[in-house]
Amino acid sequence: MKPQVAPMASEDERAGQIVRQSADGNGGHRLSREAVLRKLEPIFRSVVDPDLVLREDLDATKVPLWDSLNHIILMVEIEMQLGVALTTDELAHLRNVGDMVTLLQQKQARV
Amino acid sequence: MTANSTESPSLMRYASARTLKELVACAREYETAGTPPSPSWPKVRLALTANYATQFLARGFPLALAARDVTADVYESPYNQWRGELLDPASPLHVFAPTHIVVALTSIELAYGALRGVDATVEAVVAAVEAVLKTTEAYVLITLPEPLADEVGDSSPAYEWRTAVSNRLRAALTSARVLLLDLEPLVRSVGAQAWFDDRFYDTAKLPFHPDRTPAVLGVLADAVAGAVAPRCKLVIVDLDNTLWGGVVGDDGYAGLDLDPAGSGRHFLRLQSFLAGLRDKGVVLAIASKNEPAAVKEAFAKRGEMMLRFDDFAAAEIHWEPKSESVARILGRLALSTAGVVFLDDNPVERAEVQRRFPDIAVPDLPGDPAQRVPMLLRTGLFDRRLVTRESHHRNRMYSENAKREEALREAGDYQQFLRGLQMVMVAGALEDARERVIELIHKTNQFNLTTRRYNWAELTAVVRDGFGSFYRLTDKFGDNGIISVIAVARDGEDDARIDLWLMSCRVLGRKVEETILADMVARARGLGARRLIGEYCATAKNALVGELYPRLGFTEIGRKGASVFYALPLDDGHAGADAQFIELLQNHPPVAEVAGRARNAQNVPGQVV
Repeated sequence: MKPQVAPMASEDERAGQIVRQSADGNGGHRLSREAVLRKLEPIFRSVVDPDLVLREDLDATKVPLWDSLNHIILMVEIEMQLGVALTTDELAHLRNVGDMVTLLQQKQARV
Repeated sequence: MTANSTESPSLMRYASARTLKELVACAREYETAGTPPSPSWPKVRLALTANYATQFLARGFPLALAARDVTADVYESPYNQWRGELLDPASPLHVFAPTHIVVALTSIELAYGALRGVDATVEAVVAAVEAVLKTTEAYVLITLPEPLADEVGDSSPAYEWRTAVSNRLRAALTSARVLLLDLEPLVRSVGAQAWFDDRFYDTAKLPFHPDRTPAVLGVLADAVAGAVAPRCKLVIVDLDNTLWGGVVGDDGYAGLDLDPAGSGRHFLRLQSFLAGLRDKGVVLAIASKNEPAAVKEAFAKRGEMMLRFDDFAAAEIHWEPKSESVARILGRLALSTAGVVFLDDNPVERAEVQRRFPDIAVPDLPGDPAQRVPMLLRTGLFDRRLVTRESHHRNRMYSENAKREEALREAGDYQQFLRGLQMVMVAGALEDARERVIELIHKTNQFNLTTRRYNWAELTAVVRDGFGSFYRLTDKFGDNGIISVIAVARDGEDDARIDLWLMSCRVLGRKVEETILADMVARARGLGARRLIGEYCATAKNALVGELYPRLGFTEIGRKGASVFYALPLDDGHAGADAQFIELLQNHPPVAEVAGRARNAQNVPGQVV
């Protein structure tokens, strides 16, 4: 899955607020990539590393404690806390933060 | 589990861990900062071997067992190596030299993996378990196949496969060193929706949703701890409103609720449950505040009971504190507090026993008898997985001096216990609770000094020149309701005579009678009386209070018929030291006005009962 290029951050986002952007022209709204990242960070911190600064270019190979055990916990917590359902494939292969952001945007993770 | 090992923060958090994340966080904390295990805990060398991914279970086991007062070294077999590990006497599992082996086998791999069919599955499991029983001296705790998601109805192939395998494993594995664990009750209680999740089996070889890990670990750890620690060996049980419905001293044996078609069924249910424990070798004992004769009569004459008096190895039936009864039972049976369970419907009695015996398991029996047996089963105290803390005092030598010192210390403790109850008693005017007062007068048999079954007119006549009161007691556990009624008559210039005094036996031993006496003394003085006269009229049921007045400092002054009369002089300042444990609030109009109201009440036509 190819990560999308992150859109330019808006004034509001720079002010630290979570903004919904018009998504696909059919009325759906989705979180900005930055907002999704900010939702993911506390989950990663609570499971993997309390000092982790989450960036889109991180993946399981670059974060020492993102092992297969913690990956399962991450997936369980993301499903529960963000109210999304992941498929078997997604559970297995979602080992890159940028991919996660894209997927969670598509799945309209709840605020 | 009793969950009383909560000194360390990680153990405390473990007790409430519901998700995998919480469990792993506790385990991590325990590994780095966990309290060193107590040297008195039993030690196990636990090998975990399975046909699914058990990293999370292995990670949680030391913590889960520490929470059950067991120290564990844990070895985890590589993924799906259970057959080789058990069959090969040179395997790493054998090298580890386990004292306990948990064999965790999921139906998913058994049914759809390399082993096909019931025969092959049963043969493989039995061969592996029998091999390791021969090559080690370890206990083997093996899970029976858990329900499969494909079980729809009892004719589905998955259900037939599982029941056939389970039944044959039960029949084949009969060694005393094998414990078969059925996860079906757990699956049922969490529900299929929360249990099954194929995605995690497909990606991580977890046969249940990852967040069920703490619950599965709980079942396995209970089983291991149960194989190590003493099992439930003694149940001490209360009688009134616990073993039967009603109060035998008041309701009589005939009035006890044991009606199998009504609410009595739930008492029979508890009896049946206890009878089942007795059949498994658990010792039963009675701790009841009652008259022994009434209890024996109830057992003799209520043949529908499922327990006989002879089923109890010890019976403490008297009016002393329950903790004293428990102490005597343990002494008589020469048992430590380990594996002892105390059952009582009264939260005050439970607290009093728990306070003196922190090691004894004291379940919070629900007020609704229908909920009791299911609740007791949920505690896990009564199957072979009972866990209680080893008594630290078990081997203490009791010299005479030590005993005396302890008695003193416990007396102090008991006073502190009474203060801790935060008891407040409200004295109210009889007419403010007229129906309840009359009901108590007609119902109370045991703590009833004169047993005069007055109607309202008779009662008001008694207190016309004296005073009457009801007492309502509340404590930190709640409202005990109206627990006592007094009616004091005026006899001439000098005397106030306690014509009627009755009290609920539920509140005995809590200094209630001392507090009520202090109130009567104050009121009698207010009327200008110089003596308070007490009367005890013996009946078949009130032996309990035969010595009440002497105990309260009264002196016998004479006898007439069945009555003994006592007097307490009012002029030498009755100290009332024992009244310090209960705060007494007056909800009375002034005494004179009550007397007036009582007089008026009697004169109102149509109000006479």
